[in-house]
Amino acid sequence: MIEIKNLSKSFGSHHVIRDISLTINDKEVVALIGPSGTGKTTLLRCINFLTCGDKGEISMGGLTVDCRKHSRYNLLNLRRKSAMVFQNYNLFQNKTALQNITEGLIYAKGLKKPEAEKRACVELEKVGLADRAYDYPHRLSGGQQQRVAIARAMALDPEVILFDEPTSALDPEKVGEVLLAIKRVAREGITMIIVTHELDFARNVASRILFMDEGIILEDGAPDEVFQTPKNERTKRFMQNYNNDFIYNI
Amino acid sequence: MRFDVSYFMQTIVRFLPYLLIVIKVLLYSVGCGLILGSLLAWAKLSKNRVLRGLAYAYTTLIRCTPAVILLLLLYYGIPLLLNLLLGVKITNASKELFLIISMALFCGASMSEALRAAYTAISSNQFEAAISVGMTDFQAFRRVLLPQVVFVVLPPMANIIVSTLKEGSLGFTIGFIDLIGRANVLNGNTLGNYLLEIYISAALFYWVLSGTIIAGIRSLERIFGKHKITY
Ligand SMILES: Nc1ncnc2c1ncn2[C@@H]1O[C@H](COP(=O)(O)OP(=O)(O)OP(=O)(O)O)[C@@H](O)[C@H]1O
Ligand SMILES: [Mg+2]
Repeated sequence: MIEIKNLSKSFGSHHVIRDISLTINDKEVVALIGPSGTGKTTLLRCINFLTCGDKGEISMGGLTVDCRKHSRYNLLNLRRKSAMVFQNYNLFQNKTALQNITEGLIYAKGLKKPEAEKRACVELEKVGLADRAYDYPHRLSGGQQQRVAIARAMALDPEVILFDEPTSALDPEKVGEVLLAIKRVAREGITMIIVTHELDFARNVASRILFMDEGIILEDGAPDEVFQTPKNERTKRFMQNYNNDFIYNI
Repeated sequence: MRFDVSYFMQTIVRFLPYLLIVIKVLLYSVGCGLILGSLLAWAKLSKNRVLRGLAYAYTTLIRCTPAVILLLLLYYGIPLLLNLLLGVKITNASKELFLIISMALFCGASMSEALRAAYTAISSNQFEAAISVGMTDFQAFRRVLLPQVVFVVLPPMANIIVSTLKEGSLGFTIGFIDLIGRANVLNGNTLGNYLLEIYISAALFYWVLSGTIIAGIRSLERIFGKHKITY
């Protein structure tokens, strides 16, 4: 279970996260949607302390860390309970696909090299890249790199995997393979928070939708509920645009 | 004027022992320079404004000073200063030590710039990715950032080492007897009759040494650049 309590974050005078409290249960697949610049990325980054919130608390797997006073040790332990899949893949450029996965297993989880490699192969197999284990990132396509990043996150057996727009840097024809890989993760029953602009995908894969605007979570509910009968005016407008786009696309 | 091949060969043999002195001075200068350069680069990248300011001021000052002047100032100035301030008399100041110190001061300044630039060229994404898989800051630096920094910094490093080697030949200005010092003595003794033979053979040592350094760094580049090779 992940619990966020009264989280706030500003950059200078700009309040990006405004007092968000949120509980996410085990095995939930949460899609976080909303207009650009509303703090979705910042929220994800606050959860694993890549960015430190100004105030509030984050709890994960029985460990609670206060944004205002935390030890290095607690931070490290909290980070080890989550994994992140970045918009720009962020694979270690100097490591092969296999090493990208084993690195965290060996250095953060303390696995022996052979065990780590075995596990890495299993995860690569799952994302369909067993044959590219010894390739360096620059020789892989964007879609392949993102699938390695997903395998890297999966291998860590985290409490939660945080996805930040995992498909938005990809060519349209590569989006499908990555979405498919994420769907498989979802089916394994791993807790996930996915920031995405792919609303169809969100609706399809998520068990819960959060709509965020200007640092506040305006809507929180089951996909059908949020998409069909949104309570908030702002959400209605956002969904309308989406539905219009949808009609336009047809 | 004619070129005496047998004298030329003899000079090469005569210079051989002095090659060791040149290599020793180079290794110490580059070693100390690397430590100094790393500290300076760290200071330049730190959040502390004073530290940053000092590091940049030092680099600028050193870059704007001719090597000969620094060497002369250190060699004649420091014993004078010590005498004035502390009453310590250094009569037998080791010339080699002063040469190494001034080369290291130079080398450190240029290395800090190369290291800083290389570090900035590696995207902060790499660090974030590493800590997001649960590595400590140090592990992230050691396993992910440093190997990439080394690869980027190798070509400028080759330049810095080669110019340190060549600037090291200024040792003769304080009377240090290394390869060039020996060549000067020899040239004086033979009244300039064998000038070409003497200085070409001295140059030969520098060419071979520089070439070896450049080739060595090339092969390091191949080792650290495995991830950049396209087939
Ligand atoms: N490091 C930073 N320094 C200053 N401002 C920042 C920083 N990071 C984010 N911001 C600001 O915070 C706001 C929210 O940014 P964030 O990246 O969280 O938005 P987002 O919801 O992820 O948007 P998008 O959908 O475009 O990715 C933006 O206005 C951005 O300019
Ligand atoms: Mg974002």
